[in-house]
Amino acid sequence: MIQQRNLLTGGLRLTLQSWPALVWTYVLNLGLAVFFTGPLRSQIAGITAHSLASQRLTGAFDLGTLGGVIGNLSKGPGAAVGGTYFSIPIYFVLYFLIVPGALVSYQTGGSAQLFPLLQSGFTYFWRFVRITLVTLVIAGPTLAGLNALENLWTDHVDKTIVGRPGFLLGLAGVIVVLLVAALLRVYFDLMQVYTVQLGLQSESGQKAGRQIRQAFKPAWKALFGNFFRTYLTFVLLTVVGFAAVLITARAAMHSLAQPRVWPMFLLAQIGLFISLLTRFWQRGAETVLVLDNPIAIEAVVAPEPVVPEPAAAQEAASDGAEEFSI
Amino acid sequence: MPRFNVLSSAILALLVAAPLATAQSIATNSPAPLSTRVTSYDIDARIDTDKKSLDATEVLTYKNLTGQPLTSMPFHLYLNGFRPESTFTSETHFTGGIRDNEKADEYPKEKVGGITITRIAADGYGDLTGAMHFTAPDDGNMQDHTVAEIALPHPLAPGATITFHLAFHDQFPVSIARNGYKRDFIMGGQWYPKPGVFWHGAWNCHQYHSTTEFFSDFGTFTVHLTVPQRYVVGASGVPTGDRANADGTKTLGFYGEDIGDFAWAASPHFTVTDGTYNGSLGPVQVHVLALACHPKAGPRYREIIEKTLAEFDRRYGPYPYKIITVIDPEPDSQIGGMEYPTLFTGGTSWWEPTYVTELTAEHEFGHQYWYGMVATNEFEDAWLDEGINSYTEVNVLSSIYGRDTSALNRPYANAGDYELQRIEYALKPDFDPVTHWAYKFRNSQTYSGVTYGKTATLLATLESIIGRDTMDEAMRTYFMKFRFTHPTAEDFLRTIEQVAVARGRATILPAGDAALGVPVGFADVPPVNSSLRRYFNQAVYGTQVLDYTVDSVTSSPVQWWVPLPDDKNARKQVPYLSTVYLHRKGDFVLPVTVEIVFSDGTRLRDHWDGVERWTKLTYVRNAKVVSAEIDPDHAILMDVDLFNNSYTTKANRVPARKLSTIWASAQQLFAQLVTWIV
Repeated sequence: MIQQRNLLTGGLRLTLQSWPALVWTYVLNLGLAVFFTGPLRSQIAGITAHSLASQRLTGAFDLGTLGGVIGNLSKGPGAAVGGTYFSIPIYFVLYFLIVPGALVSYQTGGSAQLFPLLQSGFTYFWRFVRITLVTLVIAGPTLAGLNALENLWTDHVDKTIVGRPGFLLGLAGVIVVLLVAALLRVYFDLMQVYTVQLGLQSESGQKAGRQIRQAFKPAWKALFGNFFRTYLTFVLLTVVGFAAVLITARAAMHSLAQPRVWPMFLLAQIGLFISLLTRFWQRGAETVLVLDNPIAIEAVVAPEPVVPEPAAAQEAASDGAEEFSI
Repeated sequence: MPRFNVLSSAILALLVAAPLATAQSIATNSPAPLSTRVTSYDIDARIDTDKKSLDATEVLTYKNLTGQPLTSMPFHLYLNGFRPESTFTSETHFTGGIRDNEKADEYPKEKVGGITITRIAADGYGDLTGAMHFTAPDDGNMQDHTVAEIALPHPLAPGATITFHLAFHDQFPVSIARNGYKRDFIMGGQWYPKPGVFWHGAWNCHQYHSTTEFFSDFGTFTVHLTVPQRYVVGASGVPTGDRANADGTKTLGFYGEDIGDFAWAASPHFTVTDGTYNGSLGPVQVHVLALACHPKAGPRYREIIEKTLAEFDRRYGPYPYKIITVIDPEPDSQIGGMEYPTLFTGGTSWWEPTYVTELTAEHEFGHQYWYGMVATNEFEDAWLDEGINSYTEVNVLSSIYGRDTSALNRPYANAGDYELQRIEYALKPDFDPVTHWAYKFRNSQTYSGVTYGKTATLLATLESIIGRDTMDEAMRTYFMKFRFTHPTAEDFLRTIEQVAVARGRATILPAGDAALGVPVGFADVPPVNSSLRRYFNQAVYGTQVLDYTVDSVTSSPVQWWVPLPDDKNARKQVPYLSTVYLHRKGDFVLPVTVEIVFSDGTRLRDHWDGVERWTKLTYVRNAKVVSAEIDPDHAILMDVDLFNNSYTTKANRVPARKLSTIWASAQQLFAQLVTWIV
C-alpha cells in the first residue's frame, strides 16, 4: 500500500537524522570562502591596518572610504580578489560528492559523516554529473525560451506602465520563470533520488546509464502523481531559504557601522545556514516522496527477475515505510 | 474659436508693453535687462505626439554687436546628431558617450532624429534656403549636419539687425542624450535652429559631440507650443497663457528673457507641485512637474530646490528669474539630469532611499548659475560649468545634509558627495587637464572624471589653501561680475587670485618667476600673477598627480645601548629618537602639514614644502611616536590616495575583517546559488 506521509515533517526528520551532511556542506563552504579570502584580507589589511583613514570603516561604514579601498585594490596585482573565486568551483565539485552521499544516508539511515558521504559520493559522482548535464540540456533551452518571453513581457509592460506597478508586473514575469525553474529543479531532484534508490537496490553492477534512464519515468510519475504537495513543499522551502538570506542580510547590513565584526558575520552565517538547511530539507522531502513511491522491484532487478512471495514483498515495502513513518 | 483667459490676456498685454516701459519684467525680478540681448526668438511649434515630431516657424532677430561686418552666419542643428553618420554617434560608438552608447553594429530606426530647415529667408536678404550648406568645423565630417552655415548675399553691418524667417521640421529620436522621447513623454531640448556665438573675433559654432554641451547668446524667447489637450507642458521662461483649439489641441505660450536657450517637456502624466522661494530680488516660483508614478518626487524636488535657492542666494548671488521649472523625466530615459535656462530635468525612481534625487536636482539647478547666467563655452571650457557646479554642489549639499552624509545618510552606511567627486577624479587623475576642450578628452570616462570630479576636488583643495571665506567671496565676485557674459578660464582664475591677494591669502609674484607659466586664452581680467599660479599650473593646466605618503615611523631610545628600566614610571623618562619619513610619490608639488602624535598625548604639527621627493622629520622626546599624518585637517582632497597619508603604530584590523567578511559571505552565497544546478 502506497503511503502519503507529510513531506515537510518527513523531510525535516530525514534532514535532522542526517545532520552531519548539512553541517559538513556548510562548514566546507565557509571554510573554502574564508581560506580563499585570506589573501584579500591581507591585502586590505595592508592598506587599512596602519592608516588613520580607515577609522571611517571601523566605527562607521563610509562608502567613500570603501571606494578608496577598492581603488587601491585595483591598483595592485589583482590576484587577491581573483583568487577568492577558486572557492566556488571547489565547493561545486564537493557538493557533487556530498549530495549523493546525503541521499544515500537519507534512504538508508546510514552515517552522514564526511568519509561515508564522500565514499557514496564517489560511487554516484558520474551518475550525478550525467543528470546535471541532462538538467542543463533540458532546463537551458526551456528557461532561455521563457526568459525571452519574459523579456518580451517586460518590454510590453515597459511601454505603458512604469513606477511601482511596472516593477511589480515585471517581477511577476520573473517569478513565473522562477516557478518553472523550480518545477524543473524538483523533477531532476527526484531523478537523483530515484537514481540513488536504483543504485542501492541493484548492487549487482547494473549500468549507471540505465539507472538514470530508469529514473525518468518514476520521477515523472511521483511528481505529477503528487504534484501540489510536492511542488508547494519545494516552493515553500525555497521561499523560506531565500527569505532567510534576505532578512539576515538586511540585519547584517544594519550592523555594518559597528566596530565589531562578529554580529555581521553571525547574522550572515545564520541566513546562509538556513538557506542550505532548506535545500537539504527539500532533498529530504523528495526522499520521503520517493520512498512512498518506490520503483517496482521487477523493473529493477534484471536480467533474471525474482518474483517475491506476496507476503515478503509487502513486508519489504512496509519495512522502508516504518523506518521513516512519523 | 480660440479662447484666452483674462489672466493670460493681461500677461500678454504686459509683455507687449514691456519694451515700452521701465516696468518690472514678467520673466525676471529685475527692473532692467540683465543681459546684452543679442537674439530674439519668436517660435510657433505644433507638436505631433504620435509621430514624435514637430513643425514650427521661427522668427529670429539677431543684432550684430560684434563690431565688424558679418558675411555669414552658422546655425546649430543639434538634432541631426542622432544619425549614424554624425560625429556624435561615431564618437559614442567608438570612445563612449556620457549617456546612451550605441555600441551595436546596427543603428536602430527609432533612434534616428533630425532637424530639417525647409525654408529660411531674411528681411532685406530674400530667400536664403539655397545659400545654406552644412559645415564641419571640428572634424571635417561633412555627413555630420549639426552645423549649417548661411552665406549672406551682402554683409550685415556692425550694429545692424537681421531678421530671419525659418520653417523647420523636427523628428525626435528615442532619447539618446538629453532630448527625444520615451513612451509618451517628449523632451524638446536643442530643438530649433540656433546661431553660433561670435566670440573673440570669430564665429564659435562647434559640431555636436558625444561629450559636449552647448554655447549660445543671451536673448528673449516668445514661444507657442501646440499639443494635445491631455498633455501637460513645462518650458523655459514663464507661462503667458493658453488657449484650447477646436481640433482637440491646446496652444501654450511662454516667454523668457535674458536666457540663452529654450527647452520644453510634455507628458500626459505630469502632476504639479508648486512652491515659492522669497529671494533677495523677489519671489521665485518653484514649479515641479513630476510624473504620477513618482508620487514622492514633487515634494522632494520642491524642498531641495527651495533650500538650494537659499544657499545660492546667500553664497553666490541672487537668482533673478521668476520661475524655476523642474521636470521629472520618464523612467529609463536618457533625459534626466539636464539643465536648460530656468528649467532642468531631475532624476528619481519610485523607490529612492538615498539623496540621489536631491543631488541631481541641486546639481542641475546649480547650472542656472554656472552655464545659465555665467554662460561659459561648454565646448571649450566644460570644467567652468560642470566642474564649478560640482564644487558648489558639494558645498551646498554639505550645508543642507552634512559633509559626510550628503549623498547617503543611513544608520548603517554613509557617503559624502565630496568623496564621490574625489573618487571619480582619482580613477582617472592624469590623462587630461581640466582645460581640455570637451571633445578632445581621451574618452568619456576621463572627460567625466576630470571635468566633474577633478575640478570639484581641485577647487575644494584650493578652498583649503586660501580659506573658505576667501573662496566664497571669490566665487561670489566671479558670479556677480561675469553673470550674463561668456567668461573664460583665465577670467575665473584671475578673479580668485584678485580676491585671494586682496585678503592676504596669496602674494604677487615678481615678474619672471618661473611659477607664473604662460597664461592661456582670452580674459577680461588682467593678469594677477599670484603665488596661486603654482597650484593652477599643476591642478588646472597640468596633469600632475598629487600623492604624499608617510613612508615610515620609528622610535628608538636615544641611548639604545642602555637597557630599558623595569619601572614603568622610569620608562616614561627615557628619551626616544623618533624619525618620520615623508615621501612625495606624485609629481604634484604642494606644501603640506604633518601632525605627529606621541604616546604621552602630545600633538605636534610640522610643515614640509614638498619640493624634494622626500624628507625626514626627527624628534627627541620622552615618548614614542604613535602616529604621523599628512594633511591632518583632511583638506587636500586632490591627494589620490588618502590611506597612505598616515601611519599609526597601533594596527586596526577591523576594516580588513569587516570587508573580507562581507566578501566571504557573498562568495558563500554565490557558491550556494551555483549549486542549484546540481
